[in-house]
Amino acid sequence: MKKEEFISLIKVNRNLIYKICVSYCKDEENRKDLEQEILLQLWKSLKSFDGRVKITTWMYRIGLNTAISFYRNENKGNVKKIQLDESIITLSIDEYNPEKDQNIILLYQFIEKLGEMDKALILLYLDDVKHKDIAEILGISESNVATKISRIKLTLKDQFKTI
Amino acid sequence: MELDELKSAWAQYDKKLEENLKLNEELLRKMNLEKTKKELQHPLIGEIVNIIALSLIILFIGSNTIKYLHELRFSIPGFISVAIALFGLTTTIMKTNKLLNIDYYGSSIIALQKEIASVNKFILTQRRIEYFLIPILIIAMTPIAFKIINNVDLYTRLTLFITEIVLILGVSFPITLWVNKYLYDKKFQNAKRFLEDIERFEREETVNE
Repeated sequence: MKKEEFISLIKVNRNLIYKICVSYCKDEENRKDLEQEILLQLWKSLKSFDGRVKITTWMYRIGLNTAISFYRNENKGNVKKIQLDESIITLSIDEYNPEKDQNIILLYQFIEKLGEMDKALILLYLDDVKHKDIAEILGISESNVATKISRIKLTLKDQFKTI
Repeated sequence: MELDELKSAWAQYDKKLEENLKLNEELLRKMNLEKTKKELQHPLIGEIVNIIALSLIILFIGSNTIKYLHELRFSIPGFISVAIALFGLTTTIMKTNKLLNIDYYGSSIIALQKEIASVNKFILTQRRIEYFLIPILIIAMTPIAFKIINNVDLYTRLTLFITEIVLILGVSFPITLWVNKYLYDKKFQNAKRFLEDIERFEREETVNE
């Protein structure tokens, strides 16, 4: 794949990368680094993409794996800095500010409390990824995906029962 | 509020992101996408340097230990040095092999994270052992190295030899203990805990099925 095709692929799936970064990194500087790290890993892994799974399934797998590794490095204070100062994917806050969206704030607060693996699971569920694809991305069975989602639903119910 | 309700709020959010997220194509074009390849090689370069250094120690000390085979005061520390270096070489080859075999791109999240956490745990365990073995290696190697390089028999200059041992042990062991306690123990516990988390995540499947 040429760089121009890669740019088009990222353009189409920019939401996916953005949501992974926001879910795994609270700090804006680290989020920018994670975004670049995911882009680097996606570019590097392109050669191994054989089309057996959907491109988005593959992007989730690379993105989430990078985020989990990065998040753990971030916690250890060992974040690898890359060369760019600006963010490649930006949100025009003037037109839409998610920080004013109460439900989204609550959801991100809930996601933040989850462990690394559950965080990946809930992100995929919220993005309406099929159980079969979630199972493929995470490496667990479909029945386990269903069980885990039910468990998270119960936790959510407890957390948001006052709302 | 139910998860399904939040899911529809999330879908709305996704739609808004679609309209408001901009990709800075110029910046992406400028980004050095090949850089990561070099960065990933760094841990491996360290291990390869270790393999070369340990092989040289084994060859140098090993061949001279055979030369002084009948002089036990040289051959016994020589064999100890070779044994420690061989242990180091074996574990370094194992580490390199594990690092080379990590499937970064074809694996599911569970498989990759489990693999990385296991390699991490293995490396940290070996590093802790290495920190204890290095002073012993230096002490064992010194008499034979002095004999080969300077033709000096350290056993006839006991004051120098004892001073050297006291210095090496006095400096290296407190440092080793400190590094292991404050640096590696925490990292090791972290890697171990993460591996347990992943295994718990997987184990639920067995229980549920």
